[in-house]
Amino acid sequence: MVDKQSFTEFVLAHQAALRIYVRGSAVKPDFVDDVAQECFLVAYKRFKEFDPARASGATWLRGIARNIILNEARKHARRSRLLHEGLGKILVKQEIHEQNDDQRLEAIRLCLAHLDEQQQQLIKLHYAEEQDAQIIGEQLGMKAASIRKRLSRLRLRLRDCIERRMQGPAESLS
Amino acid sequence: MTNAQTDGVLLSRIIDGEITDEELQSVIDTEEINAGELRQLLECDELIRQTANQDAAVFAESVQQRIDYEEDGPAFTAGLMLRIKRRQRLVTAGFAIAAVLLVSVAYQLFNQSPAPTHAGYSHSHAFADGSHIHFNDAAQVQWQEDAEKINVNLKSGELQAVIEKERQRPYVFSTAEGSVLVRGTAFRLYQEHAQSVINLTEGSVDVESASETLTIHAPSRVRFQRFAAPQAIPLRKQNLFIITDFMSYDDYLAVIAILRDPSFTLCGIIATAGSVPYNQDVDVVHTEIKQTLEAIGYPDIPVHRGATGINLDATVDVPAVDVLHAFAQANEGRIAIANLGSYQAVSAALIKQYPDTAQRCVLANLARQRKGGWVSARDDGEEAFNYVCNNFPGQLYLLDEQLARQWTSIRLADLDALQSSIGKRIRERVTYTTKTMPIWDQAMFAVLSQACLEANTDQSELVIVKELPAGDPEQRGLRTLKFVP
Repeated sequence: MVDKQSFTEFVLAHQAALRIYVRGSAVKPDFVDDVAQECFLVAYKRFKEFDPARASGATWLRGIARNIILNEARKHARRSRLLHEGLGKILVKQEIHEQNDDQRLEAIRLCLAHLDEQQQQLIKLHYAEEQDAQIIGEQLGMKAASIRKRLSRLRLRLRDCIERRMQGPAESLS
Repeated sequence: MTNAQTDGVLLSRIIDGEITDEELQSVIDTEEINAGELRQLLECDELIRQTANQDAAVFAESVQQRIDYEEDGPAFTAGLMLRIKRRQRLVTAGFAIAAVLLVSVAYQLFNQSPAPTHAGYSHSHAFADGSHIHFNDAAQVQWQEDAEKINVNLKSGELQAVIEKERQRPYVFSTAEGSVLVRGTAFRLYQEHAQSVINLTEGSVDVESASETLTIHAPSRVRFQRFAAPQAIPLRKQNLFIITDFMSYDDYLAVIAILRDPSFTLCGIIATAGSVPYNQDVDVVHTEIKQTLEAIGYPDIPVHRGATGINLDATVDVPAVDVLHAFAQANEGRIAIANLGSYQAVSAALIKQYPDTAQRCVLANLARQRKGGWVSARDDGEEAFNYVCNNFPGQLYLLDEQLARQWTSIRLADLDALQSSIGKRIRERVTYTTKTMPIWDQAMFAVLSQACLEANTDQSELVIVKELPAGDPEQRGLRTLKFVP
């Protein structure tokens, strides 16, 4: 019997990294938590098999996630949780470079803090309030296409900012 | 445009879900995609989302609930219902003891009132005489008690109350528009747009506004305004059919909510092939719904066979449309049809075979906004969805799933009232499902517990986004219409 408290600690320790991996494997944003939960469910059932000496918790969970996503890609389901089944197969096989996700999260927090007010509002509306570009556009009096472009540019800049912060001394985004 | 720019645009379109499967397949086939770059950006997308939401604890809790759920086995079998009942008996004794403690604590808290609730949360308050009030999200309430009476002032939002008949002091519920003297009853009271509405489900109350008093008896609904006498709103019992593909928790709760609502008569459930599991056979769905209804104590609700698929080719041999037609022939008035999914084959079959009957129906469907237009709430069944939206001759409502989702927590407040017939375990499951289930299932529950079913009333809290214009089918073309919520 797995101790639920210990398992919750295991979940808290690895959930961020797992969800990042799942999203990076072409899972639709609405389903990232669902797939990640499924991974933890499998992990819970097979927790006795987990040997930290053979693989870290993150690596073990990624293996579970990989199988779930490949199964999803094979299903040809009408309501797939993947952006595209072919894409899922490609991304899940991408070589993963071990990264410190806590550091990445800290890095992005710092990068987000350097955004101007309008950019932060855009992040809030899209990521915290889960509004799509159409609705954000209506709120801000802009076209949806402009919102998409801004979000796209923001993602690129934030990605670059994270990389710089992970590699060297702190830099501002702007 | 340079290759790098093209690549950037392409990756963004993929991340935002703005690219068709065919386009994406073509890009993959021609190996134009930079997979490493795409993974990085997708991961960045998730990093931003996690940082914006700060939801690690909620996620961990959801995992735990999912584990609990998995360990408890499948839902709603007869055996499980027996287990639930046994457990309920044991739990009841515990609850009785806890209730005594809670009541004394509640009494202490009560004496410290007025106590406004906070927007974004819903909670219940139990009074010493056994009465209880549930405040829904965004309700602003103050209450005070003295030796003479208990006065509950609803400043905005909605509350539901069950007041015990055997009590020492009267309850007076007031809003800016007037007041309600309660005689021992159950009701829902809400306040908005300078008017208040009481929806009385049990007992009787005196409603006072503009110095005039109206005594009403359940079931009834009354609107009152500051400068106008209370006005009874005609309460017609609405005949309702539900179309569902599988009797899971949300559908089940919606059915229970309807059964307890005096405004509706549930005339039947139409079992249709659907999504859970994928391509579920209609006969299996039919059997499962019947078994579930028997297990939960409603064996008399008729269950009819619907469509065998989700597209237009499944609109032949749909026995349920004959039932709908026969029902329309035998009964006057409109018939409400609430579709718990986006599977429109039954509605499409009705249009094709009995357009006159369809004209007398009110159909409520979930939908999703996309690129300024409306599409099916699910990623499939578009063909039948478009057909129904363009051709349904009766009253047709599209319900925005995003809005429905926002309403879910409010509707979940109803569960306290439903708990006696549902049981604690199911309540726990609903908590699990609303945190983790896909949004269309949340919407399904939200819609069915309230919005779909009030499509025929004048209640303003509807989650209806757009009533499609009647008449010329061309006007309903989803590709050309742009609705503004």
